[in-house]
Amino acid sequence: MNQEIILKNVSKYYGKKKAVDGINLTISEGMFGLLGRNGAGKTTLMKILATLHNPTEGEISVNGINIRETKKIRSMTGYLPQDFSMYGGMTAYEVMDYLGTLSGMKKEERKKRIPELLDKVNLSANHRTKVRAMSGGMRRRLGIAQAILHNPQILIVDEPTAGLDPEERVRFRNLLCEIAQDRIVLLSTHIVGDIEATCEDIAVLDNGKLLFRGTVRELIEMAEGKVYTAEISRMELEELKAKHIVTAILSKGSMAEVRFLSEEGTPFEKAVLTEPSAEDAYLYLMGREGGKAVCG
Amino acid sequence: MWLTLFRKECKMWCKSIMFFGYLAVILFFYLTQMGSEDVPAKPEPGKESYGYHYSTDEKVIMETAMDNLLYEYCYGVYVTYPMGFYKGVRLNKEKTEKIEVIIEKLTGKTDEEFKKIINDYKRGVKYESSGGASYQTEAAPLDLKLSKDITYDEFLGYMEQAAKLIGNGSKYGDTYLKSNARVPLTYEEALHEYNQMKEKDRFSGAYARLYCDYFGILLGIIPVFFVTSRVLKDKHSHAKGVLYGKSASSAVIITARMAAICTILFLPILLLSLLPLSQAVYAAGKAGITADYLAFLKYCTGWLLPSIMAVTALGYFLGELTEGVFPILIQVIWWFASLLANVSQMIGGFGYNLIPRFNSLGEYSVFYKSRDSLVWNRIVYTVAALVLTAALVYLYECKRKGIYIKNGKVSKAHIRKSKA
Repeated sequence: MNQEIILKNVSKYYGKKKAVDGINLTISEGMFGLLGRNGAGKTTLMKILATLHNPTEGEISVNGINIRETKKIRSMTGYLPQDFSMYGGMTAYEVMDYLGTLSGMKKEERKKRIPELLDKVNLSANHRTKVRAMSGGMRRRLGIAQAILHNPQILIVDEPTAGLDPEERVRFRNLLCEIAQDRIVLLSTHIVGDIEATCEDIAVLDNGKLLFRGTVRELIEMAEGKVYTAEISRMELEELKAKHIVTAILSKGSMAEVRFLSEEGTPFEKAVLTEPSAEDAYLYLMGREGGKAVCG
Repeated sequence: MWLTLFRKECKMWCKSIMFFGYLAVILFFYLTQMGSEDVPAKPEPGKESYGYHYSTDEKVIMETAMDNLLYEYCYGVYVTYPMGFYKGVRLNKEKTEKIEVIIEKLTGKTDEEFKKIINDYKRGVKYESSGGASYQTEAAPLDLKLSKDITYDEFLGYMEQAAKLIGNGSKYGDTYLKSNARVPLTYEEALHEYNQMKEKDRFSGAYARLYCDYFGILLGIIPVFFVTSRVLKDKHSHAKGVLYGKSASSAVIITARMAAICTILFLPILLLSLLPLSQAVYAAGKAGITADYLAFLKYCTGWLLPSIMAVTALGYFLGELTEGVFPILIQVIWWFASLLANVSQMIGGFGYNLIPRFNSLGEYSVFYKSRDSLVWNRIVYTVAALVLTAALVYLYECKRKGIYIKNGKVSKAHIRKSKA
């Protein structure tokens, strides 16, 4: 069966505030990245897809099943919330066993899957470690293990790498890529590097609206011919910041090597046109006037 | 899935400090309240006292109430227990005159005759000093008796007037009037009482009632601490997000958790009941009969389990609604009010009180008369617990779908959708 999540004109209100505003989106098998600044509506959309929030308007189908059929959707979905944690007194194994039970898994199935998954997330040696004694990275890995315990067709992962050290973050991203085979993995983050390293298809949200839908390559193409580098004196830095979006600054004594965006062609003599990165492209998109939607 | 989850919840509780604290509390409570209960022995003729009981004889009730009213009138202080605490009430002149009219009606005396008797009595009261303290002594008994022409209904009417004048918790209100009639047991009555305990209760029934009386008090409050702790555990561990997203139905999660709490609270009570059961078995053996070994199981299940269920269901519902310690506050108020409401009816005044009291070893006939009332009481609490559980399942499901926000209000977004 073709794995697909289809969102049609989905909106979500909190009182008068529109957290998600008329989203139309189709998500297919593999890693899908949802990018946006804090408060863009990513977590709300993730919660809607995990059936933890009802959409106020619109229709969603997950592999052909209406999102309002919560029991069916939950049985085919794994969810790792932004602030995953469990009861502090439980060990890693007990957490998996408890949550596996809540997912309707039989005892034999749990006994077989739990050690496998703990091994996969590199927690075999810590299966007796209590949650309260785990580091942030260990908890996230336990979180991902519990989310895929019942072998879901859809995996929803909300801001999984926030607060992790670089090594742990790379390990976590690789783990997600491994898991993404034969299922949809929906990754939400505001860290562009995570998306760039793991996802082909992405969507960018801002103020609840869909700003961009396409591939990472397409996002980067949008910023082609608009990214420059230049070495300027630190005195000129403020003036440059006032005129352009500066995406990186590298201090070199009284000078600074800057990377910035410009729509107007070569802005000054010293500026050198350069290849955009995904982060440049994302900042270019977010900085565009009014955030016009660009959906591929 | 339900059974596995139930077992896991029970296991979680059994490893908790709270559970060990609970075991310590019930053991301490048992030892201090019931541990020294004497084994009932067959009354022997010729003893000075066989104990007391509350008479149901209308004449006795009227005479004792009359004596109390006269005594309190003469000393000018009326004993009351509003909210269960002692308060001595002194009436003003106008109210005292109204009390005098009531006494005149009850005794059939004219105002002049009444005043004369009272004045004679007061003149006869003398004071004795001993060790620096002064004691009031009666020189002659008060020559005032209840009129033979007064019917019980008329008497109740006068008592109602007196109760209104004195205030809440007086000896003349509905609550306390019958408990005034505390009279000594005769040998025959004591023997009858013993025979009933032996034949009808087979001793174990009497012990089980007393056991339920004591533990009903504890179980009217303790479950709320467990459920509040369970709700706060989800909240403080930030586990809600991941728990809500699992495929188990809300009915399974809620009922398994509630059943686990009820079980871990109820089983130790049942186990502990083996101690009083052994006392009952010993008493029965001494009397040459066999005790009812299932008496404690029957009484505890019918009497204590509905209390556990009701307090658990209400606490859990309010806990999920407010996600705070609000249920504890509510339960403490309810528990305290239930205890105070029973102060005057410690034996068999069941009504619809959360904590049915029967603070006596024996008195089968008193229990038998109010047994139906207890049965209805327990049915009401069981049904209420089931209804609250159903409401809780609905509430939990709404929370899982994000329809309810934290403070329990229906989200405006949901209202908007519903209207559309």
